[in-house]
Amino acid sequence: MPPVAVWMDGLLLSSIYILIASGLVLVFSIMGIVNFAHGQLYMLGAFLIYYMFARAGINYFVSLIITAVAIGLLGIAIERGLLRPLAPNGLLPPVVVTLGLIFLFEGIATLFFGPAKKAVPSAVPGVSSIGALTVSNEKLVVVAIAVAVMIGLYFLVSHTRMGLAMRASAQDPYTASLYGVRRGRTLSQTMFIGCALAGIAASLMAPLYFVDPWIGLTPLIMALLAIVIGGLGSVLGAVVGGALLGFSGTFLIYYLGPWSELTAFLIVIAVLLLRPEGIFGRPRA
Amino acid sequence: MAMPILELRKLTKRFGNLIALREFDLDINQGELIGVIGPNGSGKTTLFNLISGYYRRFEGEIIYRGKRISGLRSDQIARKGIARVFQSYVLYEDATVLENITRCFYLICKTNSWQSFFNTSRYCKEEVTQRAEAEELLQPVGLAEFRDSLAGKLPYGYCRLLALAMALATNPTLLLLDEPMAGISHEEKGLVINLIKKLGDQGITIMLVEHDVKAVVDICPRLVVLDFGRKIADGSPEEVTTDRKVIEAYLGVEEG
Amino acid sequence: MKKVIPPVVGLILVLCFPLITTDPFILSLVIEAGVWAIAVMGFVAILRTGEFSLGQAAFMAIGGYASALVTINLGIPFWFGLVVAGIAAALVALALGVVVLRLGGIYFAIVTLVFGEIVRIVASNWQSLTRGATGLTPSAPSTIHIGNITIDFIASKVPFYYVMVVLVLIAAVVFWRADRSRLGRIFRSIASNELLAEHMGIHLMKYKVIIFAIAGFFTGIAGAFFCHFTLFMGPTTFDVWDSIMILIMGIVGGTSSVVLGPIIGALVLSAGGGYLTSALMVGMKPLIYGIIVIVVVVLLPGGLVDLGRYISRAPRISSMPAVRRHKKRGD
Ligand SMILES: Nc1ncnc2c1ncn2[C@@H]1O[C@H](COP(=O)(O)OP(=O)(O)O)[C@@H](O)[C@H]1O
Ligand SMILES: [Mg+2]
Repeated sequence: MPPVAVWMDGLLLSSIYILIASGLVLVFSIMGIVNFAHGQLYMLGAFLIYYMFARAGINYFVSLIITAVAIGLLGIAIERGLLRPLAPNGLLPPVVVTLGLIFLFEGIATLFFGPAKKAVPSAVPGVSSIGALTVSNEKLVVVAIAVAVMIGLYFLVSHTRMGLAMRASAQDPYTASLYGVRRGRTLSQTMFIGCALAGIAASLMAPLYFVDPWIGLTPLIMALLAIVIGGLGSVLGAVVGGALLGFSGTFLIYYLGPWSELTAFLIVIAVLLLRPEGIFGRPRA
Repeated sequence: MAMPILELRKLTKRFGNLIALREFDLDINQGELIGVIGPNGSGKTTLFNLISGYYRRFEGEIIYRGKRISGLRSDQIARKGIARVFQSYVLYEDATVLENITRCFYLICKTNSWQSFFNTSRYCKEEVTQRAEAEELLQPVGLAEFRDSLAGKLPYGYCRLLALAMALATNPTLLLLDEPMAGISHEEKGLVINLIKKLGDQGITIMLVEHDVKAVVDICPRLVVLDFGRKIADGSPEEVTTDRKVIEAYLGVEEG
Repeated sequence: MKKVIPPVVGLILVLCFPLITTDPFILSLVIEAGVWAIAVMGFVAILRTGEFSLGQAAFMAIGGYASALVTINLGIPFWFGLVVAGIAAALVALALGVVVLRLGGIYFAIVTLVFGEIVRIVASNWQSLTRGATGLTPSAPSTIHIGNITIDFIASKVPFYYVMVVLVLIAAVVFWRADRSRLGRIFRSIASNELLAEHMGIHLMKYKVIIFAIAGFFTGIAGAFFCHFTLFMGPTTFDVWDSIMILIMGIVGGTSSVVLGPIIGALVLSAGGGYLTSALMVGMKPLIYGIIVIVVVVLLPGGLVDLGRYISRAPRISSMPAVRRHKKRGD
């Protein structure tokens, strides 16, 4: 048995992967494209938290909510301004634009926020003891918020009219529109939620790591891996894939050292060979 | 009597709980024209999807000229001489009408990829003759004058005619036609009926799925009727159209 | 006759370029642009079968390591190193293609992106082979003596320039002929409608894997040439960013031609971008790249190659190749 700290780290990492991957998958399931700039939205969110919480001294939880909303709104702007007008031209143009946005956001962050690494202080310092264990409060809060957000997302998608419209639109946009689902609005709502999740993930992660203009790539790649494992288009798949990556990553680092980075990829290769559509993806008839 | 060209043995295709095709048996002889009719959703397209290899997971066996072809990919099946015209709009929309036809010569090219890569004189000659052949194929479907328009911009009726000409370009032995006359004008319908009859005279075996029962009866000496994925009748038009089960399932609705 | 004039004039200009300038900075920029142009040609060729790869730089890395390793450890000359690099990259492309081209669409893009990361991680952790982040130091080709002519790859960049031109020419001719021959027609059929192409007898996987491997071959050679030119090969010499840059050069140059678009894209973004780098503030370059990409996709989907046609208002023959969504219909 690995020590409890390793379990805790696995839980932590999983929470973050899940938040990022489920945002990405939500957007994919409805728009049919992968937003490759999702990681850069995460990076911008981390800078927002840095400036609001670490520099301006605004309350951490208030900063978190503002960050989520701001990144969500940025997502809507991207969707309305760029992706929607390009959608009729096929898959490639919108996807290339999201790749272009990677550079754009990275450039903006470097120019305006500077290339130096920035540290965000802990929002909830101290440690708690549960029985014989001691865990840092920071990590407990991160996991608690991530779990709460995912439960909220679950209710939003499965128990509200908005969620119903989203699910209908994901399954068959045309038929959904015949039943009165306004696709434009659903797209915006989805993009808002998906990107806000990236903002939340960034707010949670910023105090634990550092912030610079290039932190977006790793979360993007891990989220993409989680999605491929879980099945493209399935939020449940993203959750399972994210957890698998988070735990396997921390456990194997503990046992194997740096090579453990590769295990995530080995899982993906195994999934691709055994079940190419992903664990929760639907196979072709 | 000779061996049937196509033998379908207990074909069954399920989509979850729905059984789109159920224990379907059929023997088709060389040169036969078979009409497949049945109400909407009775499994006609599914039957073609199994024969042409679009679905590769199903129960039963398909034997073509004595060899099992079930489980093969669509390109392997096409290579054996089975061509299919899709029910819906399936064309190379971004290419010209003529280019749509020449792309279908893939299977009957005599020069290989290397000759084409090095642009040998034999390859150039073949390109020229293929162009002429393509234009010839456009004649009987009345599309010769549209040879340079984009296929995606053609009116719907012409698309169906083009799809038919494309299937013929592969020089098939067995032709699967999925509602070739749906949504086309009266004159075009006459064109298609004549063309199918002519192909039949040339000895091509044809399976024709069609909603227009009158047209099928006119073309095909043998009809098969599907209902809820089951074969409920198989025989001459007279036998089939007087069959009680058929009238109840299908014609009853039409004539009622 | 008219058709022959522009390429011949272009070629003469290219061959005379070192007479205009031998400034090592400028030459280096152009040589590197040539390397990228080869990789971009491969990317565009794959794209024209309807699949887009986000892992092309990984094949440059494989080629680079293959050549660096065989030249350093086995003492094989640079020229054979290039061939080994091409073959190694093509074999890896073949294996990867067989597994992931089945998936197609956005899946293929994701998995190739991830593949780039796998190559980087292996390269940085396999210390005994690659020396990790320290990297390998492949050497320039040894001096050639033909009669009393001496070609020295260390004293001047001009020999490298001509080697680059020859490599670009070979790649260009292969990709151009492939596009104009029956293969090109098959690729266009597949990109246009997979379902139909397959029902017309085209073995989709076979042709996709073929073009993926051919692209891998030349991309590997490009990577090998690059590392012998810069004398260094490390895990981040070619990484995910480079894969994305290859895509961007392809789109910005224009995908309606397999050769000219990639060359233009590479010259503008790699050489042009490199020329401006010293003059720009940190962060300016990605910003400009981002804006160029978005502007091109929105306003000039045919890329810079299409600019002439766009200005003269002639009908635009093509914009971007169709990349299919994941689902396909079959009725
Ligand atoms: N891919 C599929 N998934 C689920 N059900 C399907 C699918 N394709 C066809 N079906 C169902 O199978 C039945 C037969 O369909 P089809 O063969 O298209 O009928 P027809 O061509 O005779 O109108 C219908 O009930 C249809 O809804
Ligand atoms: Mg049908």
